[in-house]
Amino acid sequence: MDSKKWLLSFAGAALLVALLVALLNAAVDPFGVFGDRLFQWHSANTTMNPRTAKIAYLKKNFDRYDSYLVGSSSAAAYPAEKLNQYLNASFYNVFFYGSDMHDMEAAVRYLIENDEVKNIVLSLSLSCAAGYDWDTGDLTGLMHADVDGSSKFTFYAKYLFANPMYSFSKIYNFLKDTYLPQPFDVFLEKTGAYDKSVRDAEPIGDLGEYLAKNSGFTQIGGEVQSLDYIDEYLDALKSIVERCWESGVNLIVIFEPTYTERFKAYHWGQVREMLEKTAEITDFWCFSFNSVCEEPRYFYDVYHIRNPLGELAIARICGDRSKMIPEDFGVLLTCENVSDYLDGLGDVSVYASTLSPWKVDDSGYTARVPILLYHHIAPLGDGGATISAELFEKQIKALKNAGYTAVSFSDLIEFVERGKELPEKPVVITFDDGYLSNYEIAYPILKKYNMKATMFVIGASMGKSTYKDTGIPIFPHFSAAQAAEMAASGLISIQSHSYDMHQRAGYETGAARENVLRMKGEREEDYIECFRRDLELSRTQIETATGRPVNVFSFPYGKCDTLSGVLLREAGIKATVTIEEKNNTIVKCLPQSLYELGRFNVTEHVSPEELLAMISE
Amino acid sequence: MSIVSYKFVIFLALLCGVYYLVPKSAQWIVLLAASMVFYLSYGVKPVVYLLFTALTTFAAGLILGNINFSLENCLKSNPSLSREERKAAKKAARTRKRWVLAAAVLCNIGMLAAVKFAGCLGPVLGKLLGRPGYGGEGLFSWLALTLGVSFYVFQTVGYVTDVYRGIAEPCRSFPRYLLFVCFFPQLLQGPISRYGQLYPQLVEPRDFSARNMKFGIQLIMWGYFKKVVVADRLAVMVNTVFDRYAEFGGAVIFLGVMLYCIQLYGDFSGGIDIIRGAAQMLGIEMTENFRRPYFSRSTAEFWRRWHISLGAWMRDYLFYPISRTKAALRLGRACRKRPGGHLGDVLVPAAATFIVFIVMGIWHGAGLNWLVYGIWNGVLISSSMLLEAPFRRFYKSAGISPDNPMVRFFQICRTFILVTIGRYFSRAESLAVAAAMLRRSFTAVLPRQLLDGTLLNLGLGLYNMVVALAGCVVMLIVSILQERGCNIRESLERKSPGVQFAVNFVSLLALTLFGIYAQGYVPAEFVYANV
Repeated sequence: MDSKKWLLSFAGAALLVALLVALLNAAVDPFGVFGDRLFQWHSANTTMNPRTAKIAYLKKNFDRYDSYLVGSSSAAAYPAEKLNQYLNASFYNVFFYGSDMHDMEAAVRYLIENDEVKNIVLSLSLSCAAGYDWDTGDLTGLMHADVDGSSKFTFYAKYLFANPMYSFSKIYNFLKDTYLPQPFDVFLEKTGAYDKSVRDAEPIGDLGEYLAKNSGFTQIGGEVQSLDYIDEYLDALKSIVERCWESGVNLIVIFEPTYTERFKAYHWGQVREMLEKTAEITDFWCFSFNSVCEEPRYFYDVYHIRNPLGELAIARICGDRSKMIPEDFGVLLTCENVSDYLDGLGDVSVYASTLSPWKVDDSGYTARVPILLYHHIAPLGDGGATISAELFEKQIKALKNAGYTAVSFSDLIEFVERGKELPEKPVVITFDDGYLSNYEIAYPILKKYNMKATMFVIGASMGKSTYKDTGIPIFPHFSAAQAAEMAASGLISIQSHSYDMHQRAGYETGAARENVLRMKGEREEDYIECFRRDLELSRTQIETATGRPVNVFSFPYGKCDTLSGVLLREAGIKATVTIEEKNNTIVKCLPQSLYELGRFNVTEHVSPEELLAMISE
Repeated sequence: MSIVSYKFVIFLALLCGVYYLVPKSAQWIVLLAASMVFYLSYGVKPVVYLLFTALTTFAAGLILGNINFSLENCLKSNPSLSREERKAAKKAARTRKRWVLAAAVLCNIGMLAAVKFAGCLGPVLGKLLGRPGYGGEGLFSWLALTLGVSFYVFQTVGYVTDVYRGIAEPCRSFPRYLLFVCFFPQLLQGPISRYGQLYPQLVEPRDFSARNMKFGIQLIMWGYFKKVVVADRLAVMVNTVFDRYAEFGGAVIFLGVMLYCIQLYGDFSGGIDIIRGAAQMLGIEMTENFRRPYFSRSTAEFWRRWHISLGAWMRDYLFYPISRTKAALRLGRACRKRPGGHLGDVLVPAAATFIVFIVMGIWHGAGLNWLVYGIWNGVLISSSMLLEAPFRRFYKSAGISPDNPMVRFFQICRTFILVTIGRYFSRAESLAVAAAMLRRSFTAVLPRQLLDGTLLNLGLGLYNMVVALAGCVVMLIVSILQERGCNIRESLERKSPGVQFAVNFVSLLALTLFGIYAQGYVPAEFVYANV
């Protein structure tokens, strides 16, 4: 080939490479700017860059929504579903992580110009005045050209010739995607919020344990951060308010719940100025400077309030009195009351400097609840998990005499969800497996001492004295009728220990499913379907027998993981128990404090005195 | 303007277009303008230094040329002069020329020394003035190391010396001379060109040659590959090892230094290939600067293959002048008369070599570590010169042929290890750090760190390590083929169009995926790891 032809060949090769890169990016569309017709994986695109993907999504789906949440990542805590319910609307969360007022103003303008907007909820934070018009310059932070009015040619060219690694990464992630959200797909398509199913299923209890796992709360520095962009913030806010007013949009402005200790890094004078001048422009709901904001467990991290608290904030704004909302959580500030309100707070920066997450006084909103675990009761104990009737009665009597009040899981749920106080010394008595002895021996004793208890039944063993259809003898289990009788007494709650996920190795023909965890080699989809079916069977069986809801689950052998926790939560299970021997701390307004509760295993070796000592730790 | 940036590619493309479209008599003007634009993209201060060197050496060249011309004229027009008179005239001319040469060399080498050592001079001056903490601000800020000064100063001193020696005619056009000094491809990292080799090419009119364009593009692509795909990746691991050497055992440290050898080769030779390729696109052949140096069998051979233009410059303008001084010649004669007189043949060259390498070390940098680097290489080469004869006798008596493949392989490995040891000093931030790393390499080896995953935590990640390793393998294969005499470009020329297209396509794809796009990828996982 002569050199001239070589040059042409080279140019052709270069064009071909450019074309391949462009085709790859257009087809795989890792940022969602080209419609993502191939993968239609909006969550991953949004994770890559919400500023492009959410706008691209809305362009195709404006007709589904008439209301929007706008703000930075803290806006993710406000549930669109609840807003829809309260305001009879269809909300989409347009938040972008790292969003500043420039982004928010542009987003509001775009939404109003392109859709008939009924409501906008605007979430403000300190960062709105700490920076303005940040521009990362890279593809993961670029605003959609339709929103900021930049050159569309340049915009699409940048994404067409983006680093192919983004496309390869999306393909790779697609192949390894799982049911649970992963760092590459953290958004919910329909609502635009973060998919917090994993974080919302993690158990939370003792404050010390929580701080040990989330050290960010104990490492907040005092390096002063300045709010240098208050003027730009106010100009943008004013523009948003005026635009909404002119367009007839119902604007709700929220100043986000800010973890109080963060204020030590700000000049209180500047914060005051920001809030006072905000009130001059618009009324707004302030969810900072309250007891909720001093409690680390109410936050995912120092910057983000948990979803349940976000839900309470919306309930407060929309006047839902059925929810238990901490009294000081949320106040509507106007130009008339903002100064008095801030005067009443004093210098929050100074106050924040005195705070320590280790010294939170949670006595007003937490309760220490030990849970006891029993199995089979026999006339004579076997020296192990089976205890004698005599010892059981002595233990129950000892609990009663020591002032303990047996409560049910419904009582715990009421405490968490509605703030209904528990007795001074609560204890939960539980029985696993559903043995007939629980009905014949334990139930009468509990009735005698008026002590509530919860019995977790294995559905496949209910009413049986042999292992399923094998004929192998097992301890007899109480029947549905007996369960109904106990439930009708009001003392006993019948809950689920799975239907058939507590199998015994050696009794099954194939591999035994001894617990709820996914078995080795089992496909995730098959496992999820199996788990849901099993729970449904268990639930139906128990609810049909007792007429009462099943909302508590005992993990067979105490084995649990994130996926099983998420599936249970999605199915409406409000409390789960394990066999980890520990006391429990439950927290008002924190449903996660009812997950993976520990239980003290009571055996024949535990005397009444030892029992009392065990649960009083 | 970095030579591995989009801007440089666009700049080069535009330059080629304009260069071949303008009238041939104006081509050198286009080159000069482009070179000044290129240099000005780094600021105005560097241009001031450049102009100083260009003016002083141009003037010196003219004066030397005039002295030569005057002497010639004098001798031609006075044939009746006696032998003594002719000798006296020549001596007078030589003396005047020496003064001119000395002035030009001192001015420019002095300026080079000043900018090299400006950083060190500040604190020293502060101590003398009784002002601790004084770093030379204000006074020395203008002397801060300026771009390419090491290269163009040597290049112009070479020119002046060539004119002095009568090898080259002085340039009589300052603009053309300025082009020789500031020809943009060589400005940043050489090669150090010779006036006689480069200047004629710069000022001669050139026709467009598709072949030159092709070879130039190929060379540039190869250079990009070595620099961006291999060297920049290895740099991450190397930086980690050198910055946190105390966390690693000697095995990892030594591996890190070896990787530095490869990184440096990829970076330097890659850059040179881009420079030479750019020049070739303009029809200009620049000196080869690297010739597979890690295949060297001795340190001396290494320095004949590594930074060839610098080694040649040192040889012609430092080594020969030192070893041909009267004192050196006298010493050599004296040694030859004594028992073991063969030493006389090598003692002076060895001593001159030692001095040359000390200068070489200091030329690279101002710290003590560079001095030790120079001494290390000087000792190795000088001692190998002194021991060459005994080694030859040893091989003969042992019946081993020096060309035996095992011997060659041993020599190549040995040389590589010796070069690697020298790199401790050239890469470490100070002599103390280099010494600490070297000590640790032998006293706390911890070989298990090579297998326990430590290497995956050197900042690169498995994917990029695989890419870097693959790149090194490609470099090795190409080097082996070239070492065996295969001219890869010409071999490719003979392949079918389909194969050539495939090679172009694969090369461009590799450069695109692993080079151009290597930076700037921000995985979302980093942002959302805790969501």
